[in-house]
Amino acid sequence: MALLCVAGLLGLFGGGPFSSRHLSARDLELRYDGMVRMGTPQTLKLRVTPVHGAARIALATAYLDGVRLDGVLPAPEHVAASSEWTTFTFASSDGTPIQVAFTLVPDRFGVLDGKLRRESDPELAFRQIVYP
Amino acid sequence: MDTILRGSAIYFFLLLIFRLAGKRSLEKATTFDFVLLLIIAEVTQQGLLGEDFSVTNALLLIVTLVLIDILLSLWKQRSHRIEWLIDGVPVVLLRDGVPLEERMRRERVDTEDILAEARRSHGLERLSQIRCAVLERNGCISIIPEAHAKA
Repeated sequence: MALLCVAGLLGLFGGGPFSSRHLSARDLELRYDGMVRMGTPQTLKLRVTPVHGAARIALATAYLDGVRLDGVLPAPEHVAASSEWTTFTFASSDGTPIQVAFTLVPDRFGVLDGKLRRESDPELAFRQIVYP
Repeated sequence: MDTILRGSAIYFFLLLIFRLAGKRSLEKATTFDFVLLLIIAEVTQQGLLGEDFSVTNALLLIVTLVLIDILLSLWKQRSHRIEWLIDGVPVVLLRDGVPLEERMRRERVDTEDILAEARRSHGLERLSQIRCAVLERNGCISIIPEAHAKA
């Protein structure tokens, strides 16, 4: 029992230092939890540099199939979906990086693989373990 | 991490509140007290779970609460001071038929409570038939009858 509590404190069951992940590629940064729980809201936090007054972030549609999208902050100006990517466009008046938060609720437990990219930049791949 | 911290915080807060509320709080419970207890349970549940209704969260909370309980009971076994802090000590409320008013006021017990327990447990009718009445740690009143009042 003590071991379980220590593991919980460290974040091995989500929401702790061992669960926190950070990825970055060029002008895109992603912070997320590597361990999440089914039915519980979690946040993907992105920091992205806009190009020509807009930041276009594409999330893999396969990843979005495994979660429920509860909200995006700030609200995107435009959303376009294709079979592989769902693209969110955010307006930016100055060219400074913007922060975007996707609130998502995993719908099923197991391993959830995600990918995202900015414009046509190389994609960032991430993996989340979803506990029941 | 939140689950463990939230569970621990609520455990110790409830421990403190019910310690301050006194031993007699459940013994003298009225219908309204039970309703209040249900409301407390409901509020506690919401505070414990927050928005997380997952099985993992529930299991972690159960493990946390049981573990704290076990650790505290082990600590109480080793230290009388901790036992006194958490559970208090038995309090003598009446000796040789004479109520100890100050202690009874502090524990919010009246002579009717002592007489009721004396009637229930020993069939006694008067305070003079009681040698000693003790408010136990669990909130019950123990009655020791005078020698001639037995049987």
